[in-house]
Amino acid sequence: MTAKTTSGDVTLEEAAKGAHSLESGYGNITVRKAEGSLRSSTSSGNISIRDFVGKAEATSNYGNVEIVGVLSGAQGRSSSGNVRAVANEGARPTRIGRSTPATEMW
Amino acid sequence: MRLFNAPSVSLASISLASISLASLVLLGSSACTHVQWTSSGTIVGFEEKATRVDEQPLDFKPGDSLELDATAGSINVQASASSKPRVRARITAFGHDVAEAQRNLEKCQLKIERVSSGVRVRVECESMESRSANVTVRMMPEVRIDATIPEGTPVSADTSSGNVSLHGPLGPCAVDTNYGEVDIADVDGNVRAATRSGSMSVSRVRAAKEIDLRSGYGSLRVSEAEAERARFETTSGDVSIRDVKSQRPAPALPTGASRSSGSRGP
Repeated sequence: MTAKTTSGDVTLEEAAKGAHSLESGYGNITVRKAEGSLRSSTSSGNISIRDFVGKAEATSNYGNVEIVGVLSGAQGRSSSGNVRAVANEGARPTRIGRSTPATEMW
Repeated sequence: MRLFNAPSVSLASISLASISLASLVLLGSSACTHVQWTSSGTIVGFEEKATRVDEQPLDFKPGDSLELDATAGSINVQASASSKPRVRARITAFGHDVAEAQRNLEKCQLKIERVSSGVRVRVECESMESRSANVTVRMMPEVRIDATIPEGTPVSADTSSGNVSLHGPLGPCAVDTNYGEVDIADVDGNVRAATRSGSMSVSRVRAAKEIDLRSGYGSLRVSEAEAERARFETTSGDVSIRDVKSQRPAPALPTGASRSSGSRGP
């Protein structure tokens, strides 16, 4: 599925297996309990992904990125925000900007 | 009739002045005042109105779809297995006196036609104009259409300004409104909806090849839906998706592309 807003939040909950593309210009993106492959991006907002089965990719230019509990591949990227990743499997860190706290792992 | 002239210095100032004056008209009147606009930025309030309710049975054959055109007003459709198909149109026309409102009301008719795809329902109005102080105002009636139709019927609904509510079980649905909210529930098949300004809520869609929701300015809320392809797009508003099954993403739009109105037909 494709969801896109120029100015607003995007929330995806309980999505079955599929290719998901979520995009916001100036809003937050939240994903909970979904499956498949995920590409999410926002220019100026935070991204939070939790409990995702599959590959998840999150890119924010000016916001924080949080990826928790992603199975089989996670990638988080922020130009000017924190990137936090916990308990992900097969993660590939791509961090730009401020560092992630040491207690968190990829 | 109350008449105000707003200075025509710029589009923005006309708009702001108009909104302010419109509030005054509404607050300053003890009766309900209907506000109409002219292209020069003039606001006219009509204090008199006339209302008529037309109700007619609908003759559906197996496989028929329903096409609705409210012109300016709201559309409500409810599928029913037990009730006989019917349509009810509440039409309100305005004027500066009762006689003019009544004359304007008589210019509007509920039309039911058989078309190749099924049944078409629309409210057709002759031109309504009111002249005062060298200002001509083209008036629009207020229309509300309520239809009860057989379960599984495909529906296409079109209105320039009004909310659209379609509650099934229905067949494929297509909605196009310029300024209004859209609420669709219980559909077997495709759902396409477009509004320039308004929120959309879509729930319980089954066996769709495509769900396509577009709003210029409004939030989108989708829940309990199954579709091969799903696309939800708004320029300004939140997008909330819950319990949706979609196998693949719709093709990406070219950068900057947006559709201002939905394609017709379910």
